[in-house]
Amino acid sequence: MGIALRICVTIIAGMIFLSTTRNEEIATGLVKIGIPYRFAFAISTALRLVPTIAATGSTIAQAQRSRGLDLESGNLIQRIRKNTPLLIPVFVSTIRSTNVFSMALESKGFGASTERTYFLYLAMGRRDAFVLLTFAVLLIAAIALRFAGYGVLEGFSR
Amino acid sequence: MKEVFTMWRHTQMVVLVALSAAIYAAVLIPFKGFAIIPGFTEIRPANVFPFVFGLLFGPAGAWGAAIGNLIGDFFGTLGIGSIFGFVGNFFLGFLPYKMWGAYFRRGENMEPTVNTGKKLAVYIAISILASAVCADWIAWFNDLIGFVPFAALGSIITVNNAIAGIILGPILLLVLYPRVKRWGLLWTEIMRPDEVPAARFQALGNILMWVGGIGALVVGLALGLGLYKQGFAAAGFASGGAGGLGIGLALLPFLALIVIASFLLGGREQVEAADEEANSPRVR
Repeated sequence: MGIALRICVTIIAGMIFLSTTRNEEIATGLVKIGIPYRFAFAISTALRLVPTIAATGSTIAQAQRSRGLDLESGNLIQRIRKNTPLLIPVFVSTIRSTNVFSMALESKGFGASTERTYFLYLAMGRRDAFVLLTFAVLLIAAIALRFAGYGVLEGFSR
Repeated sequence: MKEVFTMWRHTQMVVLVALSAAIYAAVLIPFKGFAIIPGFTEIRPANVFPFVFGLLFGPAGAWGAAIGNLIGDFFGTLGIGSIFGFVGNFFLGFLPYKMWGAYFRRGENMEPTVNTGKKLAVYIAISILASAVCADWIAWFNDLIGFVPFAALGSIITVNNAIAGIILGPILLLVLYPRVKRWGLLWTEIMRPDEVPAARFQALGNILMWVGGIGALVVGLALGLGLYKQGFAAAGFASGGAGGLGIGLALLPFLALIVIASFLLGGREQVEAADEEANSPRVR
């Protein structure tokens, strides 16, 4: 039960965060806690690009399937071997966009000054404080339960 | 390690961080279902990217590996261990470009590709070392906080990283290198020599990195597998339980060596070599 809960939590926690928080909010939040904005920008851009890259890969795979390429048959190794050549164009086209992307950023003033302003304004409210406090209490309770011997991953934890 | 911070001045490097991270995460996520230790690690063919991006994009590849792994963690392995997952993956992308220059003499062709036997051998050696260093950080921390024993996680991460890097890396490097060079996206072409530290003690840094990286893995495995009971404990070394504080303290000197070596390795010679090549009459 403990193992199942832990695995569920690790899967669900990240999903909840990503599905309830906008990219702009992640970037602005990181800057608010003192992370340099270029670093925050890299994180939020990477997050935004992941589905784009996955969608491009899927489009290429579908295009090849429509031409008769069988990607479904075979064991795991055979499938990886079939899919790998399809991924190369995705990586190459993604990397190729670097220069255009950089020019687009610089033409909009990216990096022109060390400080930057944001359209999105984030402020700590009462509800935020309440949620933070609730989860802090839950975290302390979880740690206390862990030290009491609950939620041990059998065979791995001492 | 100066270049790790000065690279953020270049918009191209910032974009390369984002693209490297996105590609790494996009390939990591579909394999989250193939768990080796549920909630901690899985089969990771995507681990080829930190080696390749590290060599091609330098510090941008290192940051990309760290951020990409963190994004991947959001899809199934997020936890306190993700902190050192970030550090470990950073070193996975950091070591390839940092160590590369240590194996080539001044004036020798040091383009980051595997088109000669020597370069392939260097690439494989660096891949193994980087895999071990990445495993050291992640397994050490997870053992210290009592999540997963060092012996289990350390060996799995090392093998997982090294297999992906050695089998897929040379192919990907041969495909990507000529294109990346043509587009002017090699880190040695984007960064200026004054932004990268000079290698003053490169040979020493090289030796310390090997001692730290492989030493931590060997000592961690020895302690984790209980060898301390027979020899080390009798000598008064690493007293205490297997793992936990024993491994936590015993590996600290090795991890310190890795950090010290990172400062000694330099990297400016690679940027200067790229500058010389770009200014040579043959290219003009």
